[in-house]
Amino acid sequence: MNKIFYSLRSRIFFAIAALLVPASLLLSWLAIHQQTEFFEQTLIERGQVFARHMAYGAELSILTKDPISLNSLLHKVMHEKDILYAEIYDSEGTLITASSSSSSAGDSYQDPDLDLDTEQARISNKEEWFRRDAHTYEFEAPVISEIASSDEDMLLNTNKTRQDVIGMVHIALSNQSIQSSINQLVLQGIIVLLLLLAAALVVTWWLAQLLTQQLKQIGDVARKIEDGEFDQRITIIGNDETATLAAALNRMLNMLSEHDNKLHAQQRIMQTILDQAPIGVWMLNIDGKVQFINQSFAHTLGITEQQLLQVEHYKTLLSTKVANQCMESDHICFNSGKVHHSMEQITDAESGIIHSFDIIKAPVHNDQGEIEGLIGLAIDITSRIQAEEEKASMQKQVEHTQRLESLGVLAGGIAHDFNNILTAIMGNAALAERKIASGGSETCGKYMKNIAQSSEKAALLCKQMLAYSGKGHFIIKPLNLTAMVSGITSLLEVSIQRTIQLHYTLPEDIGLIEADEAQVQQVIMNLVINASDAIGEQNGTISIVTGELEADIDYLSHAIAHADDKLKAGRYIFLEVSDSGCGMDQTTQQKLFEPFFTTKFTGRGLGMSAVLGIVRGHHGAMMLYSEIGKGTTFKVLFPVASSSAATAAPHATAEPTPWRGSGTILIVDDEETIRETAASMIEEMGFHIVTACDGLDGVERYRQHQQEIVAILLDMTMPNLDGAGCFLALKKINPQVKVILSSGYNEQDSTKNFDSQALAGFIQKPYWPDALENILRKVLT
Amino acid sequence: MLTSCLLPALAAADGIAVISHVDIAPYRAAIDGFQQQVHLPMTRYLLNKSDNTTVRDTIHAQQPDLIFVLGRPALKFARTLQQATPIVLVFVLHPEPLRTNEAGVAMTVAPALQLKTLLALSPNIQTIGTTYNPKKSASLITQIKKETAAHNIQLLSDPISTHAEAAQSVQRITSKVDAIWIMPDTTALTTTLFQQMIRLSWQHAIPVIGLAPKHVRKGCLFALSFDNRAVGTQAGHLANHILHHHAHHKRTPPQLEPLQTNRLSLNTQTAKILGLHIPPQIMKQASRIYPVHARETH
Repeated sequence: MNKIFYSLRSRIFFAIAALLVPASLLLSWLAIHQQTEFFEQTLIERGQVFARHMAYGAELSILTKDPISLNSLLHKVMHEKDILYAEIYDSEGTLITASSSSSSAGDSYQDPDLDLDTEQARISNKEEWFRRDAHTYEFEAPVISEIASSDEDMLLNTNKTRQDVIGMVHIALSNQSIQSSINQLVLQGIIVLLLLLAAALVVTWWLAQLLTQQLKQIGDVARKIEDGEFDQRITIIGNDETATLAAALNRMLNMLSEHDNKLHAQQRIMQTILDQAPIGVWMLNIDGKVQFINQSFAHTLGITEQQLLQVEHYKTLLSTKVANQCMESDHICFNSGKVHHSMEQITDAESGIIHSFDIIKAPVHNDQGEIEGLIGLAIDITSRIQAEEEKASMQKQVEHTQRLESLGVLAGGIAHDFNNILTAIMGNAALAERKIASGGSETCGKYMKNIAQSSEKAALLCKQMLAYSGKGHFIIKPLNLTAMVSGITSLLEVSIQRTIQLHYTLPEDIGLIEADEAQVQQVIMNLVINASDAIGEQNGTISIVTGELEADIDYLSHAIAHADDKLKAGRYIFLEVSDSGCGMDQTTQQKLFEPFFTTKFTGRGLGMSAVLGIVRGHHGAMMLYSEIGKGTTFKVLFPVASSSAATAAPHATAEPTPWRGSGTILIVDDEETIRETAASMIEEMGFHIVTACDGLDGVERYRQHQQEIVAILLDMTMPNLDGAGCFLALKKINPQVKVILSSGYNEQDSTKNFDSQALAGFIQKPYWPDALENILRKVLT
Repeated sequence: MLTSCLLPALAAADGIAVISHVDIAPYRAAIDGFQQQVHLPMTRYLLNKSDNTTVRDTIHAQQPDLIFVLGRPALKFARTLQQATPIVLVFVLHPEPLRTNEAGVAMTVAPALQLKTLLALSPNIQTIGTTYNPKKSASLITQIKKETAAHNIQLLSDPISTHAEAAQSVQRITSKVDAIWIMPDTTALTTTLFQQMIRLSWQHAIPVIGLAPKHVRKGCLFALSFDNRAVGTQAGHLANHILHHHAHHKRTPPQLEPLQTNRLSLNTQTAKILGLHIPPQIMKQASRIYPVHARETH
């Protein structure tokens, strides 16, 4: 009912009716009022005409005082419609004659409402008079006699006259007839009004319906469109404004329909993209209810989209750990109002594989700027992490391979040097044996010293080789580049052609760099070997220079560095390797650092790429200067270490003081010569010796002599039970046992399988008796 | 030269003072006629209804040779000046006995002439009736009686003093007379009474002698009246005569000259109703014939 009442059609109808009804009433009232006034005015005019007519007709009769004429006059007047009564007075106000219905009782006239003087004044002024009450209209008119102004004027041909009042007539008219006419008029007016009003309202209703017909149809179509029925169209009726509107709406609907189809197509594409995208996309409201999630991510979570969209909070569908993780980042995003990045691990529901996701959560604001939810993006970075790990591993492998490859280069020179050393040892040993056999043992010291010196050379060479092989460990620590170059000069010398001379410019007072020693050694070696190859078998020189310089951005812009590593201006430590070789053309220079690019017959082309990789890994840079026929210079820059100030002070070598030990030392080593040599050394220090040939034997020996044994010298690599297994067994027997590990490998490689704090000490083979004494003294005192 | 009373400075010289109480066409015509005869400077004075002190002072200062008055109010005013200056008056019907310095032209046409004309138009008349106020028209009735008696015609004169008596008199005498003679007397005639008289005239076929062309136009058979300009001209002659005698210190007897020029107005329609034939010589004498188109007919 309300709907009908508030419809546009009803509004138009009631609006017009609201104007029509009062307007009709007003017009009717005006018409009746006007007609009533007309009736009254007509009656008044009639009364006035009657009075004047009577006054005119009565003049002569009054002058002649002819009652018959006056009565005749009255009689005629009384026959007129509405006349109630008539009276005629003389100029003195005395009633001359009156109709039978006259109300005047006496002979003299006096208006009941006026005094006599006023009445006389009115008569003398020749005034007409009119009065009415509810039912009666009364009129008076003076009876005037017109006379020439003067006797002379009668003779002059002019119309100058004067008027003398000689009496007065008084008549009364009833308004009964006009009242009945008015009543009839009102009744007719009301009937006509009602009929016209009814007709007007019917027409108005029809008109309102006609006007709103098109609009109603537009409304019906709009409701259907609201329900998604875009194929609906409005039937155009007529050619008026609403028809124009309907046509315009139809055109708009055509466009809307077209856009809707396009939008749906785009939505399908977008949905497909989102569903199949390798990223997760979802949207939450502020209460944690999922508004949208793409299929692939829902699949990863092992939950259907419908389930996620139905629950009030997603936490009910996730594990507690994952849910807490997600809610925490949601909370940060909501509170900060900023984009939040995090990394979360989610186990694939189907495969069980743990996926790492880079999660981005961005707040969604409403029009008022309030946060009403968030949009989340989850990028699966599991493969990327794996790829990076594989890449790092590959890099290590490349570097290690290249290192081993360069070791092959070293092998010839090392074998040559070793043979020389062995020749000296073997010669001196044979000479010493002969002397001892001939009883001249007093002269053996000279040969023994030569043997010791040669052995020391061999040991140094082995140590450098071992350090160079390095096993690929990447240990960053403050290093002095000058000291490093100095430390591998032997290796460098054996790695180059004999026809080439090495020149060193190695200042000691340079800053430290933070680097892995083995990798920096590899850089030096590769550069020197390449320089040697560039010179070939000809005579030539290789210069190795270290130093420190202040590099500005302009200087660094010429450097070759890692793409992601923006070099900063500042102090750098440099290593410069120059040769007097053949030099490189531009093509070679451009391809120089590409893996597997080589100009050598035997090379695999990994050397310079490994060098560049190492330098970049240390946030350093390289510079290359080369000219054909003149030679090549490589300059490697390493940033100065922040702890450079704390340059390691050189070890103050204290003069050894005589020391004597006591107790028993267990020597566990599979090499008999080692056992015997070590035993001889330790016995010289005042200890008793128990030896074991392998780990198992060592454990057994320790059980037997646990009480006497104060320390154990344990080899690393042994059959049956290696050093590590033996160490654990010994610790089980006596957790306080003091074990000194002895190995041909360096300390880092040797102790990686041990609890470093559980070991009492380490000594690298080969070692001098002094070194053994020092470690024993350190352990036992 | 005629000078306005509003220019008293120019009027301060000897000449004619012209006084009237209204400025109407008949007066202006009479003044024109007077001016054609009297070649003296003239000063025109128009009286107010309330105060005429200024006019009086101006005329005293002017000391005119002669005062020409038009109408009874002007004559009354001129008499209040108490001067011996000659006064010539016109358009005064029944002046009181004229003073020594007064002379004028009468307004009424000689009764004999009127009776002669009546008889020319209606020769069978035996009795003529009239109502009159003895206070005003007694002398005129006397003259008429004398003339009717000379023609053996009876004059039925009914004296009245009010309009009511006049009305009753008209009712009374109409059936007894052959013609009605209207007196220049407002007591005896009102507009309605005139209309009643004409109605009775036509009803009983008795001619009515009017006073002026306007009466003829409304139904009287004829009227002998004066010409306004001719009255002025006649007054001018009189003034010249007075001024001439005055200059020679001769006193002229007071006199009211009869009209020397008359104009005849005829109503041919009324004559037709009354069954009268208008003789051609009478028709020729008529200066005005009503209805207006009647002259062409005749």
